[in-house]
Amino acid sequence: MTKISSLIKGWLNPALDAEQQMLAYSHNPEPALLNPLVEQFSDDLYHFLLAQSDVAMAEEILQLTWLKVMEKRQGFTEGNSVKSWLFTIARNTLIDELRRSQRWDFSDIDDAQNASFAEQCSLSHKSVEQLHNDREQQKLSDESFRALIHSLPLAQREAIVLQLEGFSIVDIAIITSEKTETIKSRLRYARQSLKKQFERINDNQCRDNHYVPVSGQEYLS
Amino acid sequence: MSANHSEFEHSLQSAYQRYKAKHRLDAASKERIMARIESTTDAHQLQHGYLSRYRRFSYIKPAIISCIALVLILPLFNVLKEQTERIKPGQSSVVDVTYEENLIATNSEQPVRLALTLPPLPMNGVPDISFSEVATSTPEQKLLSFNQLVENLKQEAQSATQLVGLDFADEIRQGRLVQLDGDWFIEFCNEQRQLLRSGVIEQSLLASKAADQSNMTFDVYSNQNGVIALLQNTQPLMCD
Repeated sequence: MTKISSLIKGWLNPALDAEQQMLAYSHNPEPALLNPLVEQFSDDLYHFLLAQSDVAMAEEILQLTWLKVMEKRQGFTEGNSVKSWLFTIARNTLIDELRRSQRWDFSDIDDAQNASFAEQCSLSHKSVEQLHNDREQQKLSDESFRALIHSLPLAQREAIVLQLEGFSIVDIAIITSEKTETIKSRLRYARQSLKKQFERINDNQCRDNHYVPVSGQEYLS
Repeated sequence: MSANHSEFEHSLQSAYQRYKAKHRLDAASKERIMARIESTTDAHQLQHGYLSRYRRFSYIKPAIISCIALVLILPLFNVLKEQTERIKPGQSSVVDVTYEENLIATNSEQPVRLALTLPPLPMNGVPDISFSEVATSTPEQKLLSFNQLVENLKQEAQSATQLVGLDFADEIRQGRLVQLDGDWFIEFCNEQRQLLRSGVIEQSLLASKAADQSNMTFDVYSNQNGVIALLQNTQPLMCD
């Protein structure tokens, strides 16, 4: 019975999709219109930011992102993807913050291509062991996944996370203001790197090498 | 190779989704974001409230307010006009001050009349008649003296023309000569004014070259037919 009434209500008052919601907010900046978007997209944005930074910074950048959304609401036009627009703002905010805190080191893709063995094996011993154990359990643990992602250079990490978020190569190119070919390259190298990590776990080739572990946070700093 | 690639993609995607599911943004963080949005919105409205209202500016409201103001103001204009007319009456009843030239005894050795009814006229050789006894007496005595003088003039008149305008007064009032917007008035103690014929004023009062003509005090003699004569009074106007 409740389901039927909610269906009738839903039929009478159809919920706005994200684009309509954002357009409504851009015309009428009431917080009540923005809150559904916060509810819908905050998790995705948070994980995108978390992949590039730490928890505290991701939360801070997320707040700043929504404040910028309020500020730039007039910039959202009909026909645009709300999610792409939000991720673009979040990325730019993150880069601004990294630059401000002098943690900006966006390695060029060519450098990443010629990454050294140490960079390719940038997981800590603990992470490698964790990955090995995970492999035995046929799935990656959360910490292992985080370590795996953070082992990538920032540009590749960004591209692969955006793709995991469901964006197409064209979307990623728009969000990052790069050419599609560049994005394709970054994704290719990111996959190769991640695959090598998996293979390395199997071969256990890093176990006997002594290298300086580089976590994502250390990479940023 | 392709199957291996697909397996890798699948495991990567599933790992990412598991990671997301396990590390969701907690409700407190979302509430903090929403609270910040609320507070920023309030602050923004405080800062830019006028601008945002300006963007939503509609001409309908000012038009309605203007119409209401017009409806209210029009009667006020009428009231204002009435008040203005009350302060400055347009054409009040003009009292002709009798300027009895025939009273001047030009053929007489001692002309008496015009100097009696009006302040000194610029007439060469016409002596002023002193009425000091009238000026210092009471109104009743002044009226009596005036009527006595008229009686004497009537008796002395040699022709009918000399009798024209000679009339007895039954009322005496004190007034002050005032000039308003170029016109001369006699203002009585009850603030009622009577307009003086300009010709009389120019020929007689103004020609007297008195120091302060606007403060000249007069005794106004009249009866039921109107004002008969004006006599300058050296005493200041005394109103109760």
